[in-house]
Amino acid sequence: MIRVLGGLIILFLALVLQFSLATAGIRLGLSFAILISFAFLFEFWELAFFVLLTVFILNWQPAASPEILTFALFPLAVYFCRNILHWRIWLENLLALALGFLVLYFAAAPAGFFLYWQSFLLDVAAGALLSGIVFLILYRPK
Amino acid sequence: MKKRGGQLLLIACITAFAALIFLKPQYGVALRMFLAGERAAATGTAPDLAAENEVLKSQLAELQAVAAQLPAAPSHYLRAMVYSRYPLNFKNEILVNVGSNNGIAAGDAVIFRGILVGAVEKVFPGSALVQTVFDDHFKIPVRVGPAGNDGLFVGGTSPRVASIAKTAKVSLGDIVYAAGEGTPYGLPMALVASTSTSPDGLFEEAGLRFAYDVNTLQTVLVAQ
Repeated sequence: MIRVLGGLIILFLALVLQFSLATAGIRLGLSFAILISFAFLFEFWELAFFVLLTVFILNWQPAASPEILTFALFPLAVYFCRNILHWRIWLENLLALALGFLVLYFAAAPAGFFLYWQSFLLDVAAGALLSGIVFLILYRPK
Repeated sequence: MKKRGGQLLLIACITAFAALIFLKPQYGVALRMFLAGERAAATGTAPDLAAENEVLKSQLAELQAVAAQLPAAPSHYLRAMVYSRYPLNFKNEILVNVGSNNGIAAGDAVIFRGILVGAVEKVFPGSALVQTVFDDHFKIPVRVGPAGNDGLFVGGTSPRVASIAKTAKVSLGDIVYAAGEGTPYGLPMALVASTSTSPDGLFEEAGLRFAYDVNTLQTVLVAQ
């Protein structure tokens, strides 16, 4: 429960940072990166709790959208696939981050993905940095 | 036993969130506004609060007197509050708290202080999604300056007016106003801040200056 509480605090901090940057015109998917990292650090029900809480806060319209569905389903998919590659966990996390943002960008803007390649790189870089901090705080090797 | 109890608690929270997402999304919006820093101060001692309350009451009375003398929302426009904003960087959309129940339809113009800020894209019973002029896919025919030179407003992070004839005389500070079908003609949008030639050399283009910050819009008017 203490780990879940720690995860909750980290998620809220990421959301506050995401909203603060958005006010300044910089929109990063920090909460998405956090959820992907959580897929490697928490059990299924804990992850589902974080995912639904994030969707509850971020959902901006009263209907499902490709972006929100990706936000919700991709971290859960990562959870079920997290032991497939048997690489170092930070490398798997990085790969999952890149793949996750790729799926998110194609879900949100399928025709114009190549217009956003700089935002994509920025998202992956910011997500990797944040993930590193999350792993430093929460990761305990078994 | 303890682990099972924790799991049951998580499942209960998950069920609650799922219900809230579908039944009461406005609580998510409120939580988001709280995290984004849009919250009222709630500190101070009781005497301080009483004094502050009195000051606020007198200010309210004063403003109510002023408001009574101001024109109401122009006819055929409905005042709406901005509920939430698209959180990622692919679109520039806002959700307002009027929808089909209020007679709003897709394509209705949305203005702020008399300036066109976007158009209704999708309508729900109690709310509507508005595509702002800063969305990459927002395009509308416009006219520029006193001569009414034709151009095409192209939205995005740095909106511009494209396809202006090279022979057109466009000056800094010229007004850009809407001239598209379905939008009230003549609605101001921005001022010309810079001019340049298009990449292919065939047209003039104009960089724009806006009189508002779309990230801080709290209330708008929607054309009916």
